[in-house]
This record gives sequence, structure tokens and C-alpha cells, in this order.
Amino acid sequence: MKFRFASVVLLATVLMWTACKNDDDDSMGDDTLYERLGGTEMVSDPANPGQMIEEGRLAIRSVVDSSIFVIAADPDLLGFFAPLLAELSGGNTSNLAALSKNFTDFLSVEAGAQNASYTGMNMSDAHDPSTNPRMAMTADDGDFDNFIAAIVTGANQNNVSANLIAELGVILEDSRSDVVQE
Amino acid sequence: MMTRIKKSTRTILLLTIALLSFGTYLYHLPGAIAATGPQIQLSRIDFQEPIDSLSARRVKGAILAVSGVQQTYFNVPDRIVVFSHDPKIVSADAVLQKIQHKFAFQAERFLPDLPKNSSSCPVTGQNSIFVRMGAYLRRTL
Repeated sequence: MKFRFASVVLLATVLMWTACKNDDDDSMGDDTLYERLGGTEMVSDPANPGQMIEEGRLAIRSVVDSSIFVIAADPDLLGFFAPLLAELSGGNTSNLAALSKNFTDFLSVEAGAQNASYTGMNMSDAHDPSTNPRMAMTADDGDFDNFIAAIVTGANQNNVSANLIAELGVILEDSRSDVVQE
Repeated sequence: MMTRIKKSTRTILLLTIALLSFGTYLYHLPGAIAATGPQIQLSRIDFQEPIDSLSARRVKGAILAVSGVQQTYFNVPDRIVVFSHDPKIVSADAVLQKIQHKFAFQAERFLPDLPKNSSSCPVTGQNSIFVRMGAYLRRTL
């Protein structure tokens, strides 16, 4: 009798789960953006063979890394990243890795990652040349628009769906007042 | 006798601390190459003449076909291609030469000026003996 009752409960739970689950819809439920990008499910890290990474973090890092390419090829954004590009031309890749990690951390936390933390400068100080010597100059709204466009291009390259890109855009837009200081 | 042993111990201790400090200093020099994992460099080639999207795709494919190149992005309107590569396998100049050999486009590597904060100090300059020594040690250790 107990076994039959448990079976019914189990079956009801499975039916409820499968009825509500819809893999094709990115906007269903209360899942965070991080969860809808893959969440905490561990997958192999293509950049580091033999290591595992959360799928959500991998998705965000892929967007960040692709966006860095777009930024490096954008003459309008070059001025802000000249120190980094100069280092890279000289073979120093440590600050590229730091930028990728910091930006991935920042976006992961903002997207709702539970296992991530951002320990970099706050957005205002990070974009103020007087507090961050690596920031060559202050940014205006046009610069920030170009930056958002670079992130969207990077996200598109990684086949992130339009509504998730829009959510990413909302996260970035929230920091506009701190980033734009001109 | 005991005094001599104490002196020797102290000398060895001081030498060890000095070596460790120097090693730590080299590790944190800005020009030093990261210790682990593949060394990925980001390089950029600028084209001096208009490139249509088809030609851009061919150039991109040719760059990707070069051993050591991992990823490319072509900004067609601005005639700029950016690519990541392992400099131990292929240099950016070698990639440029291959492209110039294969296509008739006028192109050159984009080399931004070194930032003031890394070039103003001769000790931490990109070509200083300390940076090169640090990079050498990190490659070999």
C-alpha cells in the first residue's frame, strides 16, 4: 500500500515537471539569466582541457571573449583599450586574461550566479581615469553604445538567443550612469 | 666552531630569502609571460584597401587555416581583422606574410604605442633585461 502511494506521488511529480518544462522558451519561470544560460551544470571547459566549468559561466565567458575581439577591431573603442592592445602586441597576455575573468565575474554575478563573486573595482572607479590609470579617457554615451553593440555582436557569434541578449543589455544599461562620465 | 656554523646558516637563510624575493619580483613583472596554459596573443592586421565581404571571408578562412591561429574576427567596414594565436607556434608577422603571399591586398600589422605606465620605467619596460629574464625563466622553469 505504501509502495503504491509512493509510486503515485512520484508519477504525479514527474508529470508536473515534464508538463511545466519547456526547453525552447528562454523566458519561462523565475530562473535567473545565469540559469537560462546553462546555470551550474558542469561541462568540460574547451579552453582548459581536463577542467570543468559551469555552463552558465562558460556561456558568459564565451560572449566576453568574442566581444574582446570585436572591441579590438573597432577603431572607435580602441582608445579605451590601447594599453591592453599594446601589451598584447608585446606578448603580455596577463591583463587580457584578467579583463576576461573580471568581466565574466561581473556579468555572472549580475546574471544571478550563486558561485561567482566580483572582486574588481566598482563600475564608477573602474571607468574614471583618475582612479584607474588603465582607463585612458572618460567615456560618453556614444562610446557606451558602441560597447553595447560590441557585446551584442559577441553574443550573436555565440548563438545567444535574442531575448537573452536583451536581458544582458538591461544588465549593461544599468551600469551606464557609472561608466559614462563625460 | 659554533659561531662559524651560525654564520653559514644565516648566510644561506639570507641568500634563500633574496632568491625567493627576486623570483617573486620576476613573477609579477608586467612584461612577464603567464606561467601556465597556452600563451594566447591577440593581433590585428589593417588592410589599406577596400575589402568586400566575400574577400573578407576568404582572408578569414586563410588566417584560420594557419597552424596556431585559434579565432578571428573581421570588421569589414573598417578593414580590420583581429585574430588570436599561440606565438610559440606562429607569430603575427608570419600570419601577415602568409596573407600577403596568398592575396594581393596591401596590409600591415597594427602596433599600438606602448602605454606610458609600462614604458616610462626602464626596469619594467617591455624590453628591459628584467622582463626578458623573467619571461625566459618562466618559459624554462
